[in-house]
Amino acid sequence: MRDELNDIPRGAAAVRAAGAARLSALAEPEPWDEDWKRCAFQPAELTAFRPYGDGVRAEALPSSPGTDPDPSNPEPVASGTELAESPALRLVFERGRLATLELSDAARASGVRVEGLDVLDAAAAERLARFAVDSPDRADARAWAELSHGARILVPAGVGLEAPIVVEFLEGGEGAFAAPRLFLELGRNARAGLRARFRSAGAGSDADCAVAGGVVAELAEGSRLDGAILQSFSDGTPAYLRLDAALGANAVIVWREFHLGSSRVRARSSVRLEGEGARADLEGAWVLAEKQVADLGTVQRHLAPRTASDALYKGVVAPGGRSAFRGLIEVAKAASKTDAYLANRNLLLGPGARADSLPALAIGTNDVRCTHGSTTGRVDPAQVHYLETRGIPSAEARRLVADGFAGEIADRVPESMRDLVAAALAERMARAAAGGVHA
Amino acid sequence: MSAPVPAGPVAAVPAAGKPSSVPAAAAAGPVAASSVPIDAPASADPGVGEYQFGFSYPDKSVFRTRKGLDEEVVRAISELKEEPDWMLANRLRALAAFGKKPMPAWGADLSDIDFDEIVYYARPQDRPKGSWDELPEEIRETYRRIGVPEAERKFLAGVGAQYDSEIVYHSIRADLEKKGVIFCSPEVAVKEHPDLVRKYFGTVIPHNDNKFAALNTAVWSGGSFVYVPKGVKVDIPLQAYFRINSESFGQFERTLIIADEGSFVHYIEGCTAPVYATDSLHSAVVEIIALPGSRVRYSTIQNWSSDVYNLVTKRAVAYAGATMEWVDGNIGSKRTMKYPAVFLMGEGAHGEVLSIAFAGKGQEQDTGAKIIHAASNTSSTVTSKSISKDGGVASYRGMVKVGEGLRGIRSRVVCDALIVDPRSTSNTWPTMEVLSDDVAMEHEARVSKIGDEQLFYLQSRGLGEAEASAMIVNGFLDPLVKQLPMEYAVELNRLIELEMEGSVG
Repeated sequence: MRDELNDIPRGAAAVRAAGAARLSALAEPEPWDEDWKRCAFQPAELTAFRPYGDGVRAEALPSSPGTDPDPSNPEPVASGTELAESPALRLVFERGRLATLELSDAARASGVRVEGLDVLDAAAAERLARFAVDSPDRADARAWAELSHGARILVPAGVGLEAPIVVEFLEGGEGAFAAPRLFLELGRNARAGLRARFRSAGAGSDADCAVAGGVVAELAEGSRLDGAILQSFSDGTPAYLRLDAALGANAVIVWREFHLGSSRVRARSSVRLEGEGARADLEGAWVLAEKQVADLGTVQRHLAPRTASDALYKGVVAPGGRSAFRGLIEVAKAASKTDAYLANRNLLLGPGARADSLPALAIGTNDVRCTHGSTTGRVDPAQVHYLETRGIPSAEARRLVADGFAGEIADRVPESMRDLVAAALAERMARAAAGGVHA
Repeated sequence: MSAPVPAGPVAAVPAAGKPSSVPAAAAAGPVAASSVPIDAPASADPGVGEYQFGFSYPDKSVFRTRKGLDEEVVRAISELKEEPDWMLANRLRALAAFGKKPMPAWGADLSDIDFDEIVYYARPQDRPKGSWDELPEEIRETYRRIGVPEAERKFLAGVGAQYDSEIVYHSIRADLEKKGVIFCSPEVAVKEHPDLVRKYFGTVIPHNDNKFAALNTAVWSGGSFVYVPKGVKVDIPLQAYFRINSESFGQFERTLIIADEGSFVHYIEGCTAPVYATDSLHSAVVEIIALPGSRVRYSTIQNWSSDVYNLVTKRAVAYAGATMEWVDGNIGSKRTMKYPAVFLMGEGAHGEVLSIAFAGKGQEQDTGAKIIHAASNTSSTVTSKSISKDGGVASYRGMVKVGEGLRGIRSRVVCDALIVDPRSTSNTWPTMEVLSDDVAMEHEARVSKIGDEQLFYLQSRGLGEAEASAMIVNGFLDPLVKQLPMEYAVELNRLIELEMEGSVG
């Protein structure tokens, strides 16, 4: 049955074609290209990875929900149960293949649909292809051109899902190129929570593939998405994860992202506030140990009046680690009464740590309030001193302050996911500290 | 541009395409006779909001190169200045670099600049003068209208005035000269203080630093050379005044300031030009060496007319315990790209940039600051205030970099932008690169409009809308204006008031 579905490639072919066209229209970045020079890999390097096995590409999901996954698939290494006890939808992909698909009765009854990207109808494919057409760089365009797997999830108008949607992408296979994309559509006044995890399948060099992809969210008028993603790929997996969200009038996105894996990571979260009154609340955190490089960024694009956005991104960098954060608040002429804020805070744990910060404003009209702030420094001696006066040894005090710095954002993820994030954060902090917290 | 140029200096090649009002006699004679009537300024009493320095006098250069740039032109300039070989070699090296360097791929739109249509050198008279009375009438009249002689009497320690390519006037107070302070044109410095010039020229901004610095190094003419000996404090400012009078002209002044240990100097420059139909290019290079314990303050109020491309490289090195301050006001020009830089090379050095930009109709002010922390226990502050109006684009572009293995670094950057109407644009492009952990680095930026409440409050107190908005803008700039000498502050406030007239949208 599945093969039959694969034989009628509908939507995804159009999306891939849009990606391929975009890829050929973009030039490889020059070595001094501002957008790429702080990244630990270049778009051209992705060509060395072979696309996820032809034939395994874009495993089609059944177009009617509730069908059991392909029994020929190997047993999944994880079923995503850590992310939520009883989700509305649980979707797990392993190395490009669908491993788990469970839709709750309540979600099914309310009309939530899940479908493989290859069976998108023409209209949905066109909506998704819009993001491929607007792809900002060659690495992302390549990911669209070689779109390997993923799903479209539709929450119909007026539906408010109590339980979250849980999605896991496990990628692996030495030398493979994984290009997963999740396409989330929320109808008018729909509400949903997303908890997504991107991590490596397997261990050792077998886990080391390259990943480029992420989440596309189309939020209709009045809808709301509460999303959180945890990225914890193996060190040897260069990864580029994006959020591309388009918001209609009065739609709201709340986004929390944690980059606690991969030694070469690039991430961009880009929100387009297209409808009047739309609002975005973005937060992110990362911890880098020695020899780890992160190139992260946000784009808050205000295209309609009375839109609001707020971004807070915090990074911890140990000696030998390097981070760059690039943020942009862009306000179109039409977007009067915009209220936008962007903050980047970097904590350096010792000599030899590096953090670059590039928060930008491009404001095209006057009736706005746009502000950004950036700070970079080491553990605040005043805070350490306070803890010392309470009897906590100096090294311990420093660790507590550093933990609290990144923990601020972890504290704001939904409860059932918080433990998972906290554990990943603690593990990464311990590794960063092993490189030597500056005493 | 392909017109053949006879070898050697050519006298009085009249410029093509001059305003029709130029009397034939003026264009024909190599040296202006005082009996030749000067061109009446376009408007004796410029209306409110007009560019008040937009008058011009006929171009009576005694020598000018043909349009366009090649080795011959560079050799002609060097020969005319009777330069030593090392300076000519430096110019030719820079000319080669200019040909190789790409145009900046970022910042303001420079695609209209046609390097072949520019006159790179024009000499207005034979020798610089030491007294205003000796100057040709129209040059004297120009500076009288700008108010320079009066300013010199009132509050300056020395004045240099540049008209097109050459310094036409230079003077310095006798007591400072006695203490060993040198304030002269760089041409004079090359002849009279070659050791100092050779030691420092091109050390802060290399000949191939960027396309426009290379261009300046190849064809530089005029500017200032300042040397302040150990421990000498020049208590009132030195000033240079730059004036472009010719059309389609490139002014490439070169300034080198050396503040020896423990000294202090405040240098001010002002710039104006008449309005012509074709664009002119101003591309200066300013190098400052603040030796240990010295303090240098460099203030600019750039008020070029709206057809001047202003592409300037300004950089200072500050050694241990030295302080370098740039006060950079950009009101005029069509496009400006200017990012005064401070390299903090020794412990305890401090760098400061105060930047004011006003982008009105058709203007693009791409300004900012660059601070490099290359030594421990150094600090820096950048304060930028910009105003965009009538579709103007004001951009702050800045870089703060902290090198590796340093301790005790503090840096703070604050950008405040005011957008007056819905058509105008404000951009902020900061970059911070931090390679040491013992750092306190802060950056803040705000973009806002003139507050309705503020306007309402002032109007309820009986002020007109224009008056009220001018007052708010002046208040917005106040923290910076306070840093200027009083005469400049008054002038700047008046310029802002003129620019703000009838502007609230």
